[in-house]
Amino acid sequence: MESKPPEGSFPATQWSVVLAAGGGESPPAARALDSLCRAYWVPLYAFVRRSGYASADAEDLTQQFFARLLAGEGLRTADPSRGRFRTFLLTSLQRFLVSEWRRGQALKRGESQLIRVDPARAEELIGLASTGRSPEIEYDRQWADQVLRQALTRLSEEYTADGKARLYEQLRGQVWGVPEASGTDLAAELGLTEGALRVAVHRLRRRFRELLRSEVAATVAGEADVDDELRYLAGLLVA
Amino acid sequence: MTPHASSRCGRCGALFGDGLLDGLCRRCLLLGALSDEPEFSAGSPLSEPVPEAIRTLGDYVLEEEIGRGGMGVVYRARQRSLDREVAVKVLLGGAFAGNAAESRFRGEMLAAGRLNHPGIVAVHDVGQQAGQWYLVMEWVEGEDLSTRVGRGVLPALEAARVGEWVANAVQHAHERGVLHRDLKPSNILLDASGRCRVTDFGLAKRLDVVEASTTLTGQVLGSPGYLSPEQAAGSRAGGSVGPATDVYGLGATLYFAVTGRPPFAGAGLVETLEWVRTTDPVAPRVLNPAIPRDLETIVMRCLQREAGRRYRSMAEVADDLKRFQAGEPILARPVGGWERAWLWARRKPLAAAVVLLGVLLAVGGPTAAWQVNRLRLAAESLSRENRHRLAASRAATGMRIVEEGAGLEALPWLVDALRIDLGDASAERIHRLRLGILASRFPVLEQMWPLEEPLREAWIAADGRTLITWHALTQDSVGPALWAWALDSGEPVELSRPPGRAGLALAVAHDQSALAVPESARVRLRWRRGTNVLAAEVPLDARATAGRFSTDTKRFAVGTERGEVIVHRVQEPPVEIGRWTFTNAIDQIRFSTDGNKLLVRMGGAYARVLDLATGRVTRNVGRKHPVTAAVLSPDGADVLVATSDGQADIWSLFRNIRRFEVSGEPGVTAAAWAPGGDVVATAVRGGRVRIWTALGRRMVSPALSHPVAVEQIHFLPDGVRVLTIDSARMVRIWRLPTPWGEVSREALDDDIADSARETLRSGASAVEVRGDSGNVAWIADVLEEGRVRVRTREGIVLWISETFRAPVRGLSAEGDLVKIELAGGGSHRVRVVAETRTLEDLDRWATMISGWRLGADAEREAVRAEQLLEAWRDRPRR
Repeated sequence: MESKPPEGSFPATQWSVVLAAGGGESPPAARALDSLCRAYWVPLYAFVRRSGYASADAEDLTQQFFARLLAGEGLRTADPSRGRFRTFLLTSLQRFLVSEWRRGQALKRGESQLIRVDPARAEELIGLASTGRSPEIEYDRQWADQVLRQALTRLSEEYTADGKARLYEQLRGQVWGVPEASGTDLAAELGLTEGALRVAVHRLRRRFRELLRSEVAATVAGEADVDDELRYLAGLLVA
Repeated sequence: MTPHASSRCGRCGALFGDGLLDGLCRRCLLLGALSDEPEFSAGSPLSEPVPEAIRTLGDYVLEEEIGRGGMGVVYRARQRSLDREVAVKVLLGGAFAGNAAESRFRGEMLAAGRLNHPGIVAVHDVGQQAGQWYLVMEWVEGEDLSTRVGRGVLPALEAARVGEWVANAVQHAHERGVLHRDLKPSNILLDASGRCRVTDFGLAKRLDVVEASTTLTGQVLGSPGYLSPEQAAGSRAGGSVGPATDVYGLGATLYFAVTGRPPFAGAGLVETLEWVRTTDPVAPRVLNPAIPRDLETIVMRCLQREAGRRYRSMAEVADDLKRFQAGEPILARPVGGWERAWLWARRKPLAAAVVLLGVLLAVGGPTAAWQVNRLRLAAESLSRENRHRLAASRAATGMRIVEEGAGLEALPWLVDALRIDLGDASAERIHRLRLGILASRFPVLEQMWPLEEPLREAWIAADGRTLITWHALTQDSVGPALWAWALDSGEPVELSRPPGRAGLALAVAHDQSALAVPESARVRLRWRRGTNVLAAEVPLDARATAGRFSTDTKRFAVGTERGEVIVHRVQEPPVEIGRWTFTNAIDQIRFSTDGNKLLVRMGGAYARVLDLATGRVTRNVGRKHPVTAAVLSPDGADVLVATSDGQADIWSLFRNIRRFEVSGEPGVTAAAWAPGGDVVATAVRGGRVRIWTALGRRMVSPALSHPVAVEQIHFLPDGVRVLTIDSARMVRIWRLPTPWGEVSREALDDDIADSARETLRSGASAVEVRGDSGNVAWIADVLEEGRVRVRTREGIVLWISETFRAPVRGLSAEGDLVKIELAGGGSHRVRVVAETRTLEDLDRWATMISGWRLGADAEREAVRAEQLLEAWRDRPRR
């Protein structure tokens, strides 16, 4: 299970996928884009939701957004040199929401004199918004989760493929979660010496680092931006 | 003592907030992938190394991390002088709100430290190193109750023994005036001999000194499931924390010990707190039938929501637990039967009425259908009446707030009244009308659109209908862009990219006719439009660091790194018309509207105003603090200055008279002056833009809310629309509310309607206001104290205005507007009282208001909510 190169198993960059989909009719590219969008559905939905839309509306809007994106609209302006895929998606979504908002405003003009208030909706929004995060921050946080989940899933798959699923399950909480047992106990439980456990932990961390970096690299303009992106995403979690 | 899940990561300090990602700390995952993250180091493979900065704290050498909690990380440590093992708790984060809070904290810790009881973990010392507070405690070998219960719930007798021990220990503390405030399983240690020790006395007090907002957003509270209702409600709800609070904490701990879960475990902090405040926990025997009824009674008596219904002291709890262990009858009476039913009925009168009806139906049988019907009707009318009463009380509170002049805070009350009365057409209508009048005092978001590229500057074009945005040259873009946007539609109308080196331009003329491009020892002024041939040169001795064209492009000012400011008339060749030299590099230059004054910022901190006509220069307008934003009034006579200490002042120029401060909030990021000079706007870090009168400290509108900080504010030429650009590059155009706004002198003569004079002469005291259909919609009249009241035809009061500064001289109606003419020292002022404009729905509000307070009474803890309504706290309530 020594480090496998992440290349080949995943598109080189999300940008290349977007550009392929925007430029032509290549079915593989369209499929790749489709899976890409599925991966990032949650952060986008979270943004719409936190922008004040009810859940059903937010779902519709997110779907519509993807439908347009997949149809190639907006992809013409996609430009990898502009930076992060995360930002590109968010900007595209914001533009889309603003245009929808404008359409809605036009429809509403000249309606009734009384205010229509849907209290259930207000309640719902209050509940939703109680963390007090801006839509942008919520989006970025969800994005971070998505990237982490993808890397963790691949890590787990690799360990499982190597017949080390149990080792992975035991170690992950110890390394990144809330440890449940002392190192000595854990080593005993896994039938390892403390030295062997140390090595196993070291490998786990190293492989995860590779996987996460490759995930992130696929969403930024270049390898040089990976650290910046990681720091940015980690920074969201401090406060 | 294995740590258990808590609110912060012990490794990186990240807040777990809404939980972990599949049990893992997100931040540790992300940071672990950084390229400069050191390869995993030697030492124990699984315990994190002690951070270098705190390896030695005073007399203590930290050896190993052994646990973490919401408030700190606990280390096993060695005290060098006594060569003994101790536990050191390093408190996380937490700047104290001033020296007083800090010394209070220290005092409290020392008071806790003086407690000497076999059931209390001794505090040896409190220390601070480089701003990092730590507690030194007795070393206890063992595990905490939470970990112990993790292996299985405690048998009843064992739980009672632990409870009695804890109760006696805490009683000892109470007798010495020390409250624990955070009793929970993780604060109870079981040592090797099976004895219990209570730890972390008084630490929770620290919550009080942390800014209330952080508590509100759930960043501090560690284990909401164990908090007492009075703590959950917050100190402002008048919930006084006392010995009964600890009784509750012990009850919650015992509940956990015998059921394996805390009394309340909501999906999130807010939800849990809400449950704690408003509901009773599930009876322990429901979760674990093996629990003896008496023990359940003791636990539930501790967990009463009303502090007065709990045991009066820890000693009483200890007594009852002792009786229980001895198999003697306990003193507490079960909370149940009629008492529980009565409590429930009192809390839920509606539901109670329905249940009562159901009972009667069941026992009455078919024999007396008429009686049942009568009862049903009675129950329905009772519930309706109760509902109305509740709604009326909400509305009355709202209206009282309106009368007190804090109208916008009435919003949640009126919405709540509407919610209760929903479906009752006539009541609904009144609530909606009131909301309509209230809502007309909110700013309306008219337009918004995102900008794509990083912004350098933005300005409103001379036609008043176009926004020009000038975007920075990014490393990848082909050149700097100048976009023109139609203000009405938010659509781009023109994009231009000046060629070549223009990308490095120092300044762009407002009419886009000229660019100033710095070169090594000169600035080249180029006409961008037309032939691009003219290349007037401004020679310089040093590198140019700032430049600006006057609004009419007739003048150009340039600042250098050596502190020179040189002003030229723009022509070929340029003619120098002014030159000043300061000691700091110039970083910003702004012309006054008439082009005769310059506001110059230098050294990143100072700002001065230069008068081109007289050559005079002011002193630094920021006085002692760095200037964060400064803007000249349209007539150039005043300057609005915001400084890093949070002050925003208006100074009268060249006389140095401070007129008044306009900001109560720190961190002004942008400021602007309305074209008429009568209104100013300031933006603070949190994204709020406040609009003030320039003549007095009065806000003319609720704040304009943005999700992120606002970087630019521009008033549109009409003075009632404001354009903002936030740091996420979203442009917004807001229409300020006009109803209470002062009407300018120019508009005055037209605005004093003939009808008003007519009304005055005829002595009429009330006017009928007609809606669009021409029917009388409501009636306005003047109250004795000089306030104006608006009623429906049926006499229901919709609105009462604030007291005007001058007597009301007349009222008039114009469509659905009421206009009030005031007597004001020889001139007149016209105010529009109530204008029920079309207000679409909450969607529209949602975009302009950033949250609102919700609560059963005004003092109750607020629930912040992004993107919805906030009851404004612009003016503190009396």
